[in-house]
Amino acid sequence: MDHAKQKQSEKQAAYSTDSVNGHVEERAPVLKSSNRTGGPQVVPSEETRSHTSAVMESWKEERTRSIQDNEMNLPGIAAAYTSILRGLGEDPLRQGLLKTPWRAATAMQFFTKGYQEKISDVLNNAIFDEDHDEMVIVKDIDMFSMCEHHLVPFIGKVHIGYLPNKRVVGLSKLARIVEIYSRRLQVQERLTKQIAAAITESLQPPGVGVVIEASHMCMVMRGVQKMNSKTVTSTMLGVFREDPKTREEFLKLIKD
Amino acid sequence: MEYQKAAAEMNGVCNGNIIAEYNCHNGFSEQAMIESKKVAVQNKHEKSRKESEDESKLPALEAAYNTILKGLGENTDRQGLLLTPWRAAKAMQFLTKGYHETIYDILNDAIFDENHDEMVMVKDIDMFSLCEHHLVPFFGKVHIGYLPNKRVVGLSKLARIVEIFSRRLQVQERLTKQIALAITEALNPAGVAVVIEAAHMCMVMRGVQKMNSRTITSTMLGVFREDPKTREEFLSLVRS
Repeated sequence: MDHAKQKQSEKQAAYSTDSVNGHVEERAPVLKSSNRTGGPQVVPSEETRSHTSAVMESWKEERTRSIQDNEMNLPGIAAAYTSILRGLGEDPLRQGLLKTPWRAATAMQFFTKGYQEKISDVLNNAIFDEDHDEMVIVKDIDMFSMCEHHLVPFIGKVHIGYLPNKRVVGLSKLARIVEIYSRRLQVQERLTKQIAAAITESLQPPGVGVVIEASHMCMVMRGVQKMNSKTVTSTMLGVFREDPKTREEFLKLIKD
Repeated sequence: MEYQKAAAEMNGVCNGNIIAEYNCHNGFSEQAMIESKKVAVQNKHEKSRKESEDESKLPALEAAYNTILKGLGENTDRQGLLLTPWRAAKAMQFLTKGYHETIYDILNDAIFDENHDEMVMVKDIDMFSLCEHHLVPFFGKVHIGYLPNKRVVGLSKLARIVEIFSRRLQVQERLTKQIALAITEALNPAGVAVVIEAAHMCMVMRGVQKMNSRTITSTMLGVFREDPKTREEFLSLVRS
């Protein structure tokens, strides 16, 4: 019990400075400085240096949720779902709903499994030296995430492009980065930025572009109820931000 | 507790009264007809989950969502999550608002005597529901067809019937049947056909993770079940 409480308070401490979802504001200085110098080398000024090193360290030492955490928390979450079913006026003892609290709790843990994974685990061994400096694009990556405001899914596609600087990354790793950040309680803007930041930090490329096009169930199933609306967000870093022709090439290639 | 009845399929219970039509007895249309006569009487006394109840249940739902967020390892004090329990509770109540409404309220005044005995179809009705097993959405399209027997129903009422039954914790098979039985009971037509084609997020976002899979269920009652040509006409109009 004490161990659990200690872990919980550790988690709280970790989250207050670097919330599980990741404070993008802390990462921002890294991106700004690379934009200012316009090159792949990050030349941090005095005040950003401490930010940068804090961010780089936190990126490598992200506090993750473990399988044991999941097992420990499952009964609590299942009990919460039972009271939700009662609160909605349903009968939790009818056949169809008997095991629903457990299924829903496990499903919710799956939808937030991005908290269990670290970028460094996923990427650490799949960066290769390759003499290639043309744009690399992986598009139409299916993305499923949870809106952190309503706990309702939003679904869409991610398109990633980057200009390698003699270092390329395994292609599936881009999709895995998307998985890690999308399987969390998210806001689409932050998700886009986190993916771009992760690729920037791991590869240090001259430029990264990420475009996400998604349909938000919180807008489709409830609220305004606009069936066909899509939300598009993009993050352009480095050369993609500065050079309009590069950006245009990327945007043209991801259009179908 | 009024809901603690072993046999009561809450999905068809309003305030403790079992509505026979919503108990799907692996549908023989004759049995549905008999049950549906019983239901016509019960409908008049149906009371739905009151909206005031929603207000009073909200704090409990909020507390439950708070527990869930903490259990997932999130920091419930961060800005994006501060009001999330309240928003999620209200969203869940909206997504199960079908428990509020009764068929009787919606249909009672929109049935007209019309000398029409050809098929009437309303198709591509967008449907959003919640899987009762995982509490994850499933959504798709509903196609409804019926052969009026001198009585037609207002077209939007078909869509409203879909809304009532889909905004609940559902199983797609039961949803299809409930829609068909409600139309049968209200209109006594010569036949009713309902086809639902949906994507289940519980299969797409988790589990087997098959993005493009669709589940199709159908209920054919009356002439649609007995006469293959009628059924074929309906299905080809759905597909076109």
